[in-house]
Amino acid sequence: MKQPRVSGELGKVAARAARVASLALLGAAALGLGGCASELRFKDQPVIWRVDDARHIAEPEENEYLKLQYFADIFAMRRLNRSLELHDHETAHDINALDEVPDSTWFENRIGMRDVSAAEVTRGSSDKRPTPPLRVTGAKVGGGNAGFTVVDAKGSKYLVKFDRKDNPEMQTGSAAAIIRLFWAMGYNVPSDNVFILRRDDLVIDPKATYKDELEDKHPFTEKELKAVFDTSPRLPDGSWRALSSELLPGKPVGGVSPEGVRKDDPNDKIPHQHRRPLRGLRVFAAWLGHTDMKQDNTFDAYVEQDGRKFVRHYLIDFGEALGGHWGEKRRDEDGYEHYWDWQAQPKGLITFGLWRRPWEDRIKTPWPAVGAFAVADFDPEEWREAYPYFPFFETDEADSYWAAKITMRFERRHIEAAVAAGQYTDPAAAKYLVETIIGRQRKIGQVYLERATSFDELTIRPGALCGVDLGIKHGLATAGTLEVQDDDDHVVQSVALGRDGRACVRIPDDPSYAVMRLRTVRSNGARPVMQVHLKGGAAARILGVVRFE
Amino acid sequence: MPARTHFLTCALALSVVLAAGATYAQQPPPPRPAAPPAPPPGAAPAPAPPAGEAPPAEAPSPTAGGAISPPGDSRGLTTEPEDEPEDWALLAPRSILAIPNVVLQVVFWPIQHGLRFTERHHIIEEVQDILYNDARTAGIVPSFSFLSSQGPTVGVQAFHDDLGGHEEKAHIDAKFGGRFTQAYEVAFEADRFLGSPWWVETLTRYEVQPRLLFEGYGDDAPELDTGVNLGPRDGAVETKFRQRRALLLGGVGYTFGKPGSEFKLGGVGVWNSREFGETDSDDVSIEEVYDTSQLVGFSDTVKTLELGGRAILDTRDHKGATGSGVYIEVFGGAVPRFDEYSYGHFGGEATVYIDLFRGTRVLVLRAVNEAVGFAPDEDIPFSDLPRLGGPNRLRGFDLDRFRDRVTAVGTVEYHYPIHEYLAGALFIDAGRPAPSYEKLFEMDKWRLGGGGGFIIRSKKTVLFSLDVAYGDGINVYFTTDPLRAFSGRNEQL
Repeated sequence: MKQPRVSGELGKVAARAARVASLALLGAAALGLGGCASELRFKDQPVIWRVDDARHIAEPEENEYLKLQYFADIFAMRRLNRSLELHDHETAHDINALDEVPDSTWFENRIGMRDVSAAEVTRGSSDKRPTPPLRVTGAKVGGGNAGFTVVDAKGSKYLVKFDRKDNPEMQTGSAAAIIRLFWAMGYNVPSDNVFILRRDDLVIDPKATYKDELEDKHPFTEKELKAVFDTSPRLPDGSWRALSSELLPGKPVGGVSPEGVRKDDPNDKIPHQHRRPLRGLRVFAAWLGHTDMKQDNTFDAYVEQDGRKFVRHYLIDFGEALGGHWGEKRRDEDGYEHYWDWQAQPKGLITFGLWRRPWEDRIKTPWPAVGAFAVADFDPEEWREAYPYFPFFETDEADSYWAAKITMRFERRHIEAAVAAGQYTDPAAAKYLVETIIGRQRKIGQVYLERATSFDELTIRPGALCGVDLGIKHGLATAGTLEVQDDDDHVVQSVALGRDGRACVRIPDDPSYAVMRLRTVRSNGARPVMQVHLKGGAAARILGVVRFE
Repeated sequence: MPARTHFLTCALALSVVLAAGATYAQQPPPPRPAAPPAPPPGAAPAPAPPAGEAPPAEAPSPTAGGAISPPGDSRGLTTEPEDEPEDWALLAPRSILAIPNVVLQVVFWPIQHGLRFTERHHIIEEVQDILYNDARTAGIVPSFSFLSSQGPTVGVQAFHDDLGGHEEKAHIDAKFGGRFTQAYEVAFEADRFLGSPWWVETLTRYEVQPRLLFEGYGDDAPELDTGVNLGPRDGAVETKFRQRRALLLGGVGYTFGKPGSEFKLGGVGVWNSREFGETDSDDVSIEEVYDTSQLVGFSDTVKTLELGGRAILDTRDHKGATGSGVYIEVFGGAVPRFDEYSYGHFGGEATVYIDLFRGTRVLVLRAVNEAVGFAPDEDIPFSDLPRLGGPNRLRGFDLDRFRDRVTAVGTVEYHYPIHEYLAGALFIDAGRPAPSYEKLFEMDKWRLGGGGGFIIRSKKTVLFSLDVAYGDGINVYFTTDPLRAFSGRNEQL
């Protein structure tokens, strides 16, 4: 029987108590119903690989990001309400029959579905950099780092950002490197590129303005430009290392709310907390130390394509990944606890310091450009984003498996290409980052692939269902057995997995609907059962996959 | 599970639920086809292709030729998954919790809309803009404080925190209510004046305090509910008195070393003029219980000039979230007889921070001593006797609960981490007042106060502490740093 999964720590505690009480009340009735949960059946139809969510819509209103209310909600108010709602588990709503995510305005399958070259990673969404002279049109709004907007010689608009003096190369390097990995995963991201800026490259547009904290506009002058440069580390030749981020096409309409849908977007029908690209993002964020996940780091643009206007959804601002959030805030809890963590901090209170907090053993690196980002102290399951992000509360083992599968598709060449885009001056720092990303990738695989029946890349051959054990394929395990079980959990087939993880099992000759129950058995135990729904016979075909029964 | 048995089990369970008043609709699942027969023992698992042969690539292209669906309909299920038993199990608690949830939503509604309004209309920035300068180093701000025994105090302060560019601080403020009928203060202090190693402090204050506590001298006297014409050592009765005071203070000194290894040496002069009288409050007034003629200086205007020196050794690693180091402060001075009173005044405190683990579990040991002496009792105004009680000296007892010629406090305190900016504290204070050092060390008479609290702090500074202590009752204190016994010394002089 599946256990109800309730969002959030408070919710878990409340649900546990509620569950005990309610189960006692329902007693045998509930137990009797335990086997009555309906079983999934898939339509006999082609697998959906694209969702039609780019239909023309009227221009939506801007989804305003109000920081005070947002933080009050995620840390306390909405958090408490959510806990009292006793959410139980819901499978992601935007997956297809194969438990994959079809292409949409949210996500486009890239490395998870096809070979992506290192050159593609190097390019990312675009490797276009601003061409001088650059006309400064205004100041950067929001974020912790200084910057301004420019129009280059070709008329393209960019946001230009800088590092902080105490962490040169950290934010620009991380932003340029990580955005390429997120692009390769399949997310919509802007193009962030490191470039060298000289004062002579800039002219201030006479109409350039900046807004003060009261939103009053003032002329952006040499004084404001100097203020930006004063906070940024200068290179020995007097130039600055900067990050250019080409402004995204379309009209900005705010960020992605962590719950619910955008009510004035008819294409947005799936509550965001039930979108796998946002739920599985937890695994990617953990992998790359992207703790700065919040609504403000998402971006919706009302774009036009083929005569249709619709909203496209982006992730933005990865400058504080790779431990950069720690680097900026010097907060040792980063990656281990939310800023206000209802689980860890009350536990810290009542244990009077006897509990050795995991972050107390966090590893720091000798490079100012690299934050506290390491392998040995990384536990993917215990990883926490800095600001509670509700889709992560809904992340289930299938979401994590999906994300881990994509994570494991990255090869050293991809990671080296991404880190190279960060243009770290010290080769040792770049090498460390590559090795650390690979080391953390392996931990992701060990946790989310190796604890599942990772029999994947399924195909039908005459009379057989074939696939690959991803644990073996990615070197997380060396051997195993693939078992087929009947409804009473008796093993009816058992096949040794090949050294490359490949194996095939027989399928019924009968062309009627069948459910194959498969599980991997390793020397350290059996993995949870997965289901492959298919029709056998001469025209055998896979109808659907339930990754965790 | 065979389909028929499965169905019967479901039907039985369904009837139980229906009898309990619930409704449940459950379709029996479609029967699964029997799995292919197991191969006979020893038989090869044909027709599977040999291991090692690559299955043909069927990796679907993400864009080319794939089927398209409307949003939310991509999985291709024949029926939507129905409720699981847990949904029913959670029905009752969900229904019960819906009530507090609605209540909370009602409570949160004005908060959320208030925050929204605040941010949309930049209320905080507008207020800051009105109250502060552009650099946010100077401004005019309201002040508020609360002591449970005194009530609320409100005021206004104009300040500048960076007059000379090296954090030279000046302020002028006025307070009313609570501890004060009225209070006005002008002050300037600089830890490193104009960037030099010199520290400077000046202070001018006038105040009227309507209800200061007096419960006799020492701690030997019996605690009484009331009394008449008591001498200060005859009994301890909670009474209040009024004080009007003018104060001038000036000090200058030199700092050796840098933060983390700092030694300060300097001199301070304090001129005080005080008048006392019956309390303006509804509390029991001092003259109703005590013979105030036995309280030196009560009937006069007490004017004193104290000249002395001060030395501070500070090796704390951080002044806020201290993980290790020591803080030692000693002072000594004399009140020369230019009016009726003359005596010596000296004291010190030593605080040791012992790092138990990673600089976050810290054991703090503190010893504090203060005394007046080198003069007969009649030369020492009652108001200048060292006092105990309150947030900095002997928690668990009311502010100024004890006074005598000599006081001492020892503290054992433990700090542990809760949050980046929040630490927990557990403490025991022990202390006593005494007429002499000989009597001070009658250890069986020491008073104990203990409790716990929270410290809101950054690395650089303790923003405030909340302590709950039990001594002769439960006391709650909000203070800046309970471990700095003499941080408010100038205020209390």
